[in-house]
Amino acid sequence: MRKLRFILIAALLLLDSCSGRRAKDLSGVNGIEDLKGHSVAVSMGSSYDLMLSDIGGIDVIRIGLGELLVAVEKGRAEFCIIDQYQAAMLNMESRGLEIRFRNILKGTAGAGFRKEDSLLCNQFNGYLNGIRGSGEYDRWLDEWKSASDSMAYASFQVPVHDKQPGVRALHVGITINYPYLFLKDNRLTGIEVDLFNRFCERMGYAVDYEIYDFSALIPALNSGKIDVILSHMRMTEERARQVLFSDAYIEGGGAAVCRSADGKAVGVRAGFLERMKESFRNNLVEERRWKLMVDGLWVTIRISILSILSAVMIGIAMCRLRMSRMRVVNLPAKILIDILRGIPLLVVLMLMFYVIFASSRITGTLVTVMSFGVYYGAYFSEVFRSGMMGVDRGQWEAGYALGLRKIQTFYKVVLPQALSRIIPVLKGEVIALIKMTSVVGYVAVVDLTKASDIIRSRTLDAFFPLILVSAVYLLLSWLAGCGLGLMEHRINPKSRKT
Amino acid sequence: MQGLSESIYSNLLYEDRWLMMTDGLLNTIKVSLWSILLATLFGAILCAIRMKTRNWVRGCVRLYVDLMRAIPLLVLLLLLFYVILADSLLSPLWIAIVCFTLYFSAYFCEIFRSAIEGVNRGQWEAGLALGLNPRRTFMNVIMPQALKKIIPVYKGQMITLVKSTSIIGYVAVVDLTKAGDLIRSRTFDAFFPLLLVAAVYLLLTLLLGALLDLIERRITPKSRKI
Repeated sequence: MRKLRFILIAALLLLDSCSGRRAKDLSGVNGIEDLKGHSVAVSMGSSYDLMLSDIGGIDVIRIGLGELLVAVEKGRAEFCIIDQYQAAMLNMESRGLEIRFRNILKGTAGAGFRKEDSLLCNQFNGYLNGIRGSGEYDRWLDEWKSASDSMAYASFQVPVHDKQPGVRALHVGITINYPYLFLKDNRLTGIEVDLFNRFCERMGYAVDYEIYDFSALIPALNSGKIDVILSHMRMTEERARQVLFSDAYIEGGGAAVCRSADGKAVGVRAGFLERMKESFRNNLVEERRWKLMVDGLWVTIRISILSILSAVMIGIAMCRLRMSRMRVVNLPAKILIDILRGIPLLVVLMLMFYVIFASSRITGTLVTVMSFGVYYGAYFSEVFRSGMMGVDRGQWEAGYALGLRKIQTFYKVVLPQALSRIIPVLKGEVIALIKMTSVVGYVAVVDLTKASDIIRSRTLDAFFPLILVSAVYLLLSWLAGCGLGLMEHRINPKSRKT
Repeated sequence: MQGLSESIYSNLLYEDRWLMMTDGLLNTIKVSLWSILLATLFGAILCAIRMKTRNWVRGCVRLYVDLMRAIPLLVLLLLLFYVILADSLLSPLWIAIVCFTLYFSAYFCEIFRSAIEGVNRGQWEAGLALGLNPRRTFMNVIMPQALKKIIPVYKGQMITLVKSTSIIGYVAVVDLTKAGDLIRSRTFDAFFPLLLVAAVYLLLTLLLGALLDLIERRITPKSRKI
């Protein structure tokens, strides 16, 4: 086994260290029009995405915000477009990258409100005008612009009202986008967050920030999930048809980044252990990012346990209906189960979140538990049913012959035999459920995977957070497997004898 | 009703957006079919290795299977795309196929193994006693009985595979789900693209299920008699 481990590690190292794909000559590209014929990575649904799609002739690669630079670094795309302010903050040379040109789609960003909610929008505009007049706005912007990366942003944080009866809580949809909105020491901060906190403090609102994918923000606003979009959103015409924008409060523009001409990272490439240590520090220790991971882990565990419980209950109910002799009862149950097993979980989750529970103010966690409960309930019910059907009919008859009532026969005779068939299959499904919880980031729940995404979008390290997360999932599913194995052992009459 | 026709117009007909959907559907089908094919093949090989060999090779396969069954598919996909196969010349579509092959072959391997082990040992002995060589015994005696157990579980796993392809949007492949997302990011309509995508997936899995039922009926000895 030890030999094997060495081989595996050696293979990984080899794959990790060999690099260098022949790159096209990119020196002639100095403007948006020159991007034609090249591959450009952009954040899905961003204004750059919409612009490039309209130009045509560009191979647009739409991925998450955290993966843009990595995609260029690894040669998945020739260019990527990121915010120019963020680009200036990052150390491009050490990654073998360079900024080719700036000021793409230079424009202003504002907060977005629902069309019907002009009252709130006017309040926000009024507040903006007020601080512009008093000079507070300029001071605030200067402070942020002069703040270096290492500065303690937390000092700008203003106290926000607690949630109390009588205080309106604004649900604000955001995406993590350094330096406008980001987490430091596991607290949300950033230029826009700071501004909005000040506004809420003045107006006496409580705030509840929820992290969404950028492309999900406008649907979330229109379906009533959130009251405000605060996500460095550029005010394009297309968006303005759906969203009521406030006055502009900040400028923005994009920078196109590509591999630098020599394509090599500057500086001596450190050894494997050194790099791991560096990654560990960067991704976990610095700014106490491990806290975010731990929080995410708790969310994953909580969602998993609640989902398993609700899925077992719903599964039992569905199984009961499905096995009913009456066609009126078992046919709808069969159809429902077939439908649930036929569509992807993600679609079920999104439908529950944006359509079925759109207007009700229930949290993403609850929607998740319900979706997982219903979806895996369908799977579990089939597992239960096949377990029950596997028990010979004669066992029922034997029970009756012994003078047991129906319910006694079920509990004392049939169920123990069925359970020993059900548990091994259920084990696989439960592990599948735990792993599937990695999609809940889509409905604004910050679980383990989403936490690592957030860290990745800040540290722009593809390797370390992913490995860490997969190790944690490995551990979780192993634990769940052990727990169910123990249960199997206790339930199985054969092993009970010993 | 007017809302519906407006939705259809803005989400599908305007700027020929339905083309995105059909392209996405094509990619979904391509990834699904290739992955099913390769994963079945690879799973069978793994199963053979696991059942034939007795030394560390077997432990290796076991480790691989356990590993694949314990990490999330998305994490594997991202690892392959950005780390392990980062410098390969494979297109994202093929990386997705490699990922699904690696992942589901572990599941298929276990399905095959448990089915083959589920066939009574006496069947082997009966075959050998009839003068068949081990290969013939496997193909003519064991395999048909094992297949009967494999097909229903295999069907479920295949449908899971097709549905899991909805994550390949993460590595910049425009599949059905991603196409729906793209349309959503232009029309900002939460409802219609989602429902449409769900319906197409349902149709796909129903078709696949029907196809497998057909195969099942042809393979199982009981139904062949009729």
